[in-house]
Amino acid sequence: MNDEIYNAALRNALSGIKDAMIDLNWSFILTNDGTVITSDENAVDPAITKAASSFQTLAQKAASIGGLDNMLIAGDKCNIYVSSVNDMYLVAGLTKNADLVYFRTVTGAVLPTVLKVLDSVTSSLSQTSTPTPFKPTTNIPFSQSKITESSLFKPTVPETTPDEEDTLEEEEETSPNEEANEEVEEAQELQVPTSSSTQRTETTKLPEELPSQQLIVDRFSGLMVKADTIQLDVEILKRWSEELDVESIGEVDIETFSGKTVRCKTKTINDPKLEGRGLIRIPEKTCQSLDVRRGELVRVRPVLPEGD
Amino acid sequence: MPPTRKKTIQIDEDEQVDWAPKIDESMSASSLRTVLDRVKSRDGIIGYIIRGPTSASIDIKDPSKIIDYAALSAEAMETGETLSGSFDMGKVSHILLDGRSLKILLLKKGEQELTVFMERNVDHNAVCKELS
Repeated sequence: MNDEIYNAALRNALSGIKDAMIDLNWSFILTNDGTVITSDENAVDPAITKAASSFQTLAQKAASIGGLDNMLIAGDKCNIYVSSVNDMYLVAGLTKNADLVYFRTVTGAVLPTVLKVLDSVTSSLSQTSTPTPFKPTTNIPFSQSKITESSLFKPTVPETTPDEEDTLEEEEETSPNEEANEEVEEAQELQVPTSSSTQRTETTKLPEELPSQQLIVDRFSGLMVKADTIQLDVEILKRWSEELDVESIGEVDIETFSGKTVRCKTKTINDPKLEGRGLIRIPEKTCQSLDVRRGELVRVRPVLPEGD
Repeated sequence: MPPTRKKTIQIDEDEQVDWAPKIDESMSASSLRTVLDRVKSRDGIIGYIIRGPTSASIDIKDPSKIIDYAALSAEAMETGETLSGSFDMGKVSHILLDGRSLKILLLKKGEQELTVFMERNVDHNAVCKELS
């Protein structure tokens, strides 16, 4: 079963939920990597894209509270309710006085059932026929992150290059009745290992963002202290260098809440009592220029060494 | 003696300029902290974060979680603001993030952003009421 059918089924499910709930204004579903897989017709795409991208980061950070189960944003005019369904998230715009318990009951019953049916249909189809090649979703390709293994729509064959995709789409348009046969042929064509594997490496490497972390300021001073060198946990530096695939992180950018930024060299915290406490030790002079005090939070980003 | 007096006045003025704008802020922050300390003494409350435009303070029972919680709190607030802007929700009164192991309540009091971390079984409505 391809993702278009999957999307259509979910879209119908959302329409059904909307019919059952007059308090529901709009809704859409996100996978846990932030990809929008379906939306009902009244939802605005740019807003969804923005919301999904923002929500994606939040869902990742929610690992510290055991993963995100649900979320309610209560506004003056309306509420947004996000609930987890299997490995997806249902995002819904509800009126201010919507009955959340009823909404949870309806969505908690309908969506898992639909997903279960779709999964069982998919697995029975895959047992009886050659797997259908995965086509990248046409909805919103905003997601800059990798598609996780747990994603329901993980590809069954290697990804295609844009040129190949175009060719495939053209072929499908010209002969829709022979879709099944062609898909099998396409799958065989696509399984050429050299080009597809190169493409995958490129697509996963390109959109990487620099990691950043909020840390608590600790001030220090001394005769031999260099104003342009801060101290960080060795673990943080190690993690960043692993994430960015560099030997070491020599410099970081520090940004305060008031928007002041400074670039400093890094050293590891040498006081064992201060290790692992989420601190950034900043020399007194730099603290003054940044206008930050002990205990305040700053955002710290590693600087990629030149040439990487 | 004029020079000495001038010097004294100058120091006073400097202190006024330095401290005057921050008195109100610190007072409101400290009164908030008092309420938050009261909230924290409840069963199931894990800790809190107050974040103002120029300062922030964290009181979390488990220090090893401070970074993760601070990052999550900032991200949740940002997401709330993004969603409210994108979907014309008006002013966000509060955000409740229900995790599988615990939940967090975020709200804004003036310029201060409050985040309270609690066990899942805690009545967040009561906490919200106390903080509002």
